[in-house]
Amino acid sequence: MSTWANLGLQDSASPLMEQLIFFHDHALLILVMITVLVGYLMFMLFFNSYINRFLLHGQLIEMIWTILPAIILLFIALPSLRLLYLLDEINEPSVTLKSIGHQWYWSYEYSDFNNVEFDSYMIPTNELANDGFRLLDVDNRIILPMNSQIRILVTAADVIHSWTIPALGVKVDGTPGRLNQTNFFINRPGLFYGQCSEICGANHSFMPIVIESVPVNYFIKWISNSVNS
Amino acid sequence: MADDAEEPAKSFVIFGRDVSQIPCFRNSFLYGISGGIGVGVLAFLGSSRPHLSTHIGFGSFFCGTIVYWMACRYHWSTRRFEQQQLQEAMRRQALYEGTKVERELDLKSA
Repeated sequence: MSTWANLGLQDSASPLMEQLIFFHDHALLILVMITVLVGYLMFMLFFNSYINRFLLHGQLIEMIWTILPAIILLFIALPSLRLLYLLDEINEPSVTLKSIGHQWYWSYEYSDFNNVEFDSYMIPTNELANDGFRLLDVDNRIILPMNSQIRILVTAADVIHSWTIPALGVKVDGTPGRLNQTNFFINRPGLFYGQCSEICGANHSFMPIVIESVPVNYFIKWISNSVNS
Repeated sequence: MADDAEEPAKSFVIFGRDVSQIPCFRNSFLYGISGGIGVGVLAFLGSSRPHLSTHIGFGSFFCGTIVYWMACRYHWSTRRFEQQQLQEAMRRQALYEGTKVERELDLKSA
């Protein structure tokens, strides 16, 4: 999860997020090397005593600094496109979760299972336990099975919200009157936190999302208890 | 066990990220930096021109790091994919062992 002064991506909990991290490392190394090259060229200017007042063009160097960046961009674009299409692959989800954004809380529905529904409000700081996470913990977490394809349908009841879980690489806008769908796969148990990612009013920063990923049999037990209660 | 004899790799944290855990990172920079220094020194020995040798050394570092990184990441990616395919195949073999599905798959592959 995110801690203070967190600069990088969170540890992945999904194969797609893992691939996003790999691509991020790849692109960042290329960018760092280009920055080092430009820094070196600028530094060398201090030691350059050549002057040519009549310099107009240089065909060879212009060819080099056109073709070389094009080749470098190709090495960034190809993995990027591979990942883009990988993110859009169709899977067969085993669970569907509906998420509705409100001002300022989320409500969730598990329509596969006799309409299990609940609201999820942030726990205010003055009611937070000593071991709780300020502005992140909620009263009712989303319980989802691990190692299963999950489909999520996101919408909103009033203004645009955005449902986000950085550890899963998921960010989906919830727009009133529209259903947005995405799939994800959680490959380890644990708690995964996110926050609303579209400005939605005064308490936009105070409507977090928490997923509790559990083994399938625990999920079945929880959903049975929820249906019965 | 072989795993107990291995020493854990030293962590190298930059801006909160342990870069020693990034596949191919360490080797890319080791080969790039050492290759750049080596080629730069050789260029200076051959030409006795410090500026030119510095440019050649830096160019070798730049090209060496990027080329090694691209090749290493590609091979790592293909090996990882094959490893995942193998893991999935082993999982399915354990799942279908002794069942009708396994017999049908054996007939198909025979």
